[in-house]
Amino acid sequence: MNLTVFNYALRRSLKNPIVLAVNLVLPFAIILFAFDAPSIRGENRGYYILAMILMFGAYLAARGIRDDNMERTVIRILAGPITMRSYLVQNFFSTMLPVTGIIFASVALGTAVHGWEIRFAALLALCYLFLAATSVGLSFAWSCIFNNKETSFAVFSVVLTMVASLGGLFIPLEFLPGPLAYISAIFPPHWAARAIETLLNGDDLHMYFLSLLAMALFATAFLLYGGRRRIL
Amino acid sequence: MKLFYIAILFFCFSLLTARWISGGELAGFFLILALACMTLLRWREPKSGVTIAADFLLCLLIYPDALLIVGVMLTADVFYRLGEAERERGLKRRDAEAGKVYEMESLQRDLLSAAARIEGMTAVSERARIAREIHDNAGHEIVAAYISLQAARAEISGTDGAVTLYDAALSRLDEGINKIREAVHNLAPVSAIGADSLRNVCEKFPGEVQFNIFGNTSRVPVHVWNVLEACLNEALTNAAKHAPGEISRVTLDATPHIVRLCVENATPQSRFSGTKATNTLTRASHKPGVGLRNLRHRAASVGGNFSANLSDGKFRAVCVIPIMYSESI
Repeated sequence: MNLTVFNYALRRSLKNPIVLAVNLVLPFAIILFAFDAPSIRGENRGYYILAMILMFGAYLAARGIRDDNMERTVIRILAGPITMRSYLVQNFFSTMLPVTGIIFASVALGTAVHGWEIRFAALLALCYLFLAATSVGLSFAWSCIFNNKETSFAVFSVVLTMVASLGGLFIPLEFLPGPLAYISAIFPPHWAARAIETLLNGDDLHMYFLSLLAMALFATAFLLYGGRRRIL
Repeated sequence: MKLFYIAILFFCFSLLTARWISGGELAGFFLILALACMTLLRWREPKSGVTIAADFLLCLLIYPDALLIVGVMLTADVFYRLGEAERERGLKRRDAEAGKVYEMESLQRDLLSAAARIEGMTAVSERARIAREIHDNAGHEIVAAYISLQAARAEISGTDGAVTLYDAALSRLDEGINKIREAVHNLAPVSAIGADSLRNVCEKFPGEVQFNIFGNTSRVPVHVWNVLEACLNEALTNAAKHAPGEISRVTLDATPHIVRLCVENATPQSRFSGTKATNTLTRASHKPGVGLRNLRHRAASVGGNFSANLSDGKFRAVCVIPIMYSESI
C-alpha cells in the first residue's frame, strides 16, 4: 500500500499515546462515569465537558502538522509530487476521520446509556463535529504562529483554560457579565455551548443553526490562516 | 505604508465591533466573522476568481448593509496590496535562491571539469618530467659511453672471438640508444602544458593578444596552471564580448613565491566619454557575472585571489596565486 500523506498523518496521530488516551478513553469515561456531575446551576454539565474533551482531543490529533513544520519533515514531503493544498487537505481529513468516529461512538454510547432521542443525539453529534472541525482549524492556525513545541503547548494550555472558562463550557453563558459575554463570543466554544443549550432547552433550532454557522466561519478563518506554510 | 493599511483595517473592524455591541451580537458578530474570512481569503488568494465571486455573493446577500460593503472593499484592497507586496518579495527571494543554486551548480561543474583536467595534466606533466630525466641524464650518459666504446674499437686487438663479441655489444647498445630515443619521443606530451598552454590560448584567440612571460615558471604546480588558464580564457572571452577589436595584453609574472596573471584590454571609448550617469551605468553593467565569481572561488580554493575591475578606460583581470601555498596542498 502506498503511504500517502493521509495514511502517514493517520498513522502518526494513532501512534501518539496521549492522543489515543484523550480521544479514546476520556470521552467514553465522561459518558459512563461523570455525565451527571453536579454543576453551578444544578443542571447536567456532562454535554459541555464532553464538548471540551472532544475539542482538546481534536486539537491534539491535528498537532502532527506542527511537528512536520518544526522537524522540517514538510520539506521532505513536498519534495514529492504533492502540492501544499493537497498536503493540508489530506492532513485535515486524516484528523477528522478518527475524530468523527469517536464523536459518533460517544453519542451512540450516550444514547444507549442515557436514553437520548435519536434526533437529539444526531443534532448533538453534528454540533460536536463542527466544534471538532473548528478545533482542527485552530490547531493548524496555532502551528503557524509558534515555532517551538514547548512554548506552543504552554501558551495553548493557558488559552484553552481561558477559552473553556469564558466560552461557556465551565460557566453557563448567562452567568457572564456584559463585557465578558461579548468577549466570550469570539471563542468558538461559546457557540458550541449555545447550540447545546438550545438543544437541551428544546428551543427553536434557529439559534442552533446560527451557532453551527458561527463555528463553520471560525473553522474557515482558522483554516485559511493555517493553510499558510513557509518552507524557505 | 503597511502601517497605514493596518490602521484602515483596524478602523473598519472597530466600526463593525461598535455596530455589534450597539445592535446586538447577531447583527454584528457574524459580519465580523464573515469579514475576517473574506480578508483572510484575500490574503491567501489575492485576485483569485473565487475571492471576487465570494465578495459579490456576500455583498448581494447583505446588500442593504453598506458598512459591510465598505468594509469588504477596504479590507479587500488592504489585503490585496499586502498580498501582492508579499508575493513580490517572495518572488524576489525565490529568484535570489534560484540564482544562488544556479551559481553553485555552475561552480560545481567548473570544479569537476577542472579536477578532471588537472588529473590529465598531472599525468602529462609527470610523463614530460620522466622523458626529460631520461633525455637529459641517463640518455646523455649512455650516448657518451657508446661514443667512448666506438673510439676504443680501433685499439682492440686479439682473438677474433673477442672482437666479434665487442662488435655485437656495440650493435646492441646502438639499438638500445635508438629505443631510448623513441621512448623519450613517445613520452613527450603532444598537448602544451604550463606556460605553453597559456601561449596556445593566446595564439588561438581571434583578436590581437600580446603575451609576455617574466620569471621562471618551472616551479608553478600543475593545478595552478589550470586555474590560470581558466582565468585567461574568461578574461579573453570578456574582452571579445565587450571590447571587440581592441588589443589584449597578457602578462605572466612568476616569482619564487607567487605567480601573477594580468589580462587587460581597453574598452571602447564611447562607453566612458559620457556623463556621470553613463559612467555609473557602465560600471553597473560590468558587475561581476557568474563566470568571474566562479573564478574568484577557484582562485580562492588554491589560496589565491582573482579580481576584475574597470578603471582608466581599461578592463583588467588579475589572478595572483602563491606558489609555496600551492605546493603545500
